[in-house]
Amino acid sequence: MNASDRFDKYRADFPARAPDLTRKDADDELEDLSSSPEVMSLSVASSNDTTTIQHCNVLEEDSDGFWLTTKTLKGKYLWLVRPDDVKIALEHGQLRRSEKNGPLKHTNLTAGEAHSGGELWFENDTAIYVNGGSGRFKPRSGDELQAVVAGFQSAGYTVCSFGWDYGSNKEKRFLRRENIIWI
Amino acid sequence: MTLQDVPKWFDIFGPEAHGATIEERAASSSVRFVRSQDQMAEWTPPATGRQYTAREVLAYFGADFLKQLFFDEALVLPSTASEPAKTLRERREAFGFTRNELAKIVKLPEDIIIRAESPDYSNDIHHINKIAIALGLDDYVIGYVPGANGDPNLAVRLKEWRQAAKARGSSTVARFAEIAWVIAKQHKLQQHINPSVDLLADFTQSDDYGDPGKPVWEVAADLAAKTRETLGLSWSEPIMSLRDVCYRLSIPLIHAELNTDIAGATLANGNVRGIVANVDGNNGNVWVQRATVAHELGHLLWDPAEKLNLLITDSLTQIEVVDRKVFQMSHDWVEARANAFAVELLAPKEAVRENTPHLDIKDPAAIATAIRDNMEHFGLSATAMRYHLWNAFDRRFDINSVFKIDPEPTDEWKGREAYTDDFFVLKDTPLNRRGHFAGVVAKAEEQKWLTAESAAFYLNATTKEYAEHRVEILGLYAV
Repeated sequence: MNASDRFDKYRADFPARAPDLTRKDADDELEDLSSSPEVMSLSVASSNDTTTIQHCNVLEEDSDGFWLTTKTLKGKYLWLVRPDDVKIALEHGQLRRSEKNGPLKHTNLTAGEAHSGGELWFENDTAIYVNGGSGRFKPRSGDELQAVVAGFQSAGYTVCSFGWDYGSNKEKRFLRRENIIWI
Repeated sequence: MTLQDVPKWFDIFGPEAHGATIEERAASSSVRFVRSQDQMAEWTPPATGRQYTAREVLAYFGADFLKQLFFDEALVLPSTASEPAKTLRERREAFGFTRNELAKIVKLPEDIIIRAESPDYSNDIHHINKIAIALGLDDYVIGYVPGANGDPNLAVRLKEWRQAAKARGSSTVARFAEIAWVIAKQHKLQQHINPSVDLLADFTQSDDYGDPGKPVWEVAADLAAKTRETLGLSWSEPIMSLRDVCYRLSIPLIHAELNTDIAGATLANGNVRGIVANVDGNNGNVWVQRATVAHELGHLLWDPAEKLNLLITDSLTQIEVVDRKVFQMSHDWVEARANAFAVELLAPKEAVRENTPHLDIKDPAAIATAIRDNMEHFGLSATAMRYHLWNAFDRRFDINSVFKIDPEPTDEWKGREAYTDDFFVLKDTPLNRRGHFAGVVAKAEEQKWLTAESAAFYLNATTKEYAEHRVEILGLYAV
């Protein structure tokens, strides 16, 4: 079952916008790959196809207390709330950008506007770590990040949000143990 | 990396930045960056972290980092999850501080120390910086570079030094650790604002500590003469400010309140050495202090590296001894040479003779007057000048018959050497940062090597207080 409608309240409060292309590095970042089978629509938690979801096994990855950062590439998905659906795709999966063979960008998941994007990891089929790490569609504030996290929760996921880093006034890209709160 | 490599440099440094190189663009950029414990981003209100200029980020994190930061908007700083906790914990342990001691040193609750040393927490970067500075670590890169460029020998030696005498408590070690940070920071900033000056390269260390043919004090006199020559001083002129001499030599001179058994010290942090002058006890007299600083200069400029320990503390009894017999008996020729060097540097014997043309060596009152005249002329303490004049006149008068001499320095000398110690425009700036350090910080801020926020942090002031007094601070020092 598609989870898109669980984000309607969020969409109402935070309108869609064009991507911020200030930081565009290559033209193929704008290639719309959203029709590729590797780009999935987010399902509600209970109806996830467990054969297609890659789990992050974050605890096995680092015994140093390093729970999760944007540098943790294994099992790292990009998420993008579009006006009509919510797309997810592995950033470093089989699907790559054409020219440089580089990882996906959020702009590869849409041909136009979107509400916001970020990164997520599946701890299991129903529990996810979420952050607002996106150069093109990042949540515009801590409040927006909270609102989109509420959408994931409405879709049945137990969510651990990286949260907001008030020191740098940006979405957190580094999750330490004290921030691991499952809601 | 050149400007051509990355077409986005214009965007990174903002439209007002100009210049043909990345460095020039960074220097003229008004873009500010901000870091928390765990990540860095371009500064936007209301970010509460530590602010950096584009020039600082380029200098300390590099062009690749800046480029990546631009594309990613926010970069994770710690190289491993355990940073900066691991560096802070290991450093505290290396110094031998308990968490409670460190909490008292940095005036923060112990709970904050515990959190800072745990990889489980994200902490206020201002607290992390404060703790890093107290431990002699590089506050710029704490968390980003494991070990934060801390000199491992510093902690080991200070711990050993502490254990060598019961009277040496954690607070004295902590003062030296913080001074080590001041030394390294001043040197680094001085290199930024005045990169071409390297007078130290003109000194070649000497392992000549005298022999029966040429006693140590004659060797010292030659070294003092060479020092004057290198500094462009005549053979006889008084050295009006040792503070300025140290600055010209790029040797940070730090005034500090230490136990009164310590007159001065040379302290190394990495490959940078500085001089620490105690302003408490007898060393509160600036003439005594000048002898201390000149003594330490003798060590620092001329002793070979193997003779220079990471920390050398000298007591006043060592420094004020000008009686050659004492050293002849002790055979401590390194200290003997530094002592003789100090006196000869400040008051060359020939110059003392020239300044004392008609001394009646049979008149104790006249001798006392001559000693005081020379003290005022050359800026040397009563004890040192008494022996020095005696030696200059080939010991032809009875040193024990000399009348009591007023040891108090004149206001002019106090002003030149210690004018910012007692009164500084920013009331909460610690004594150890009131010397040229303050001037270098203000100049570096003017040249965008620091944000005003960082300058204020280093001078323990609010940004508003710093901004109000910045021009005054710049006027206090010839930096």
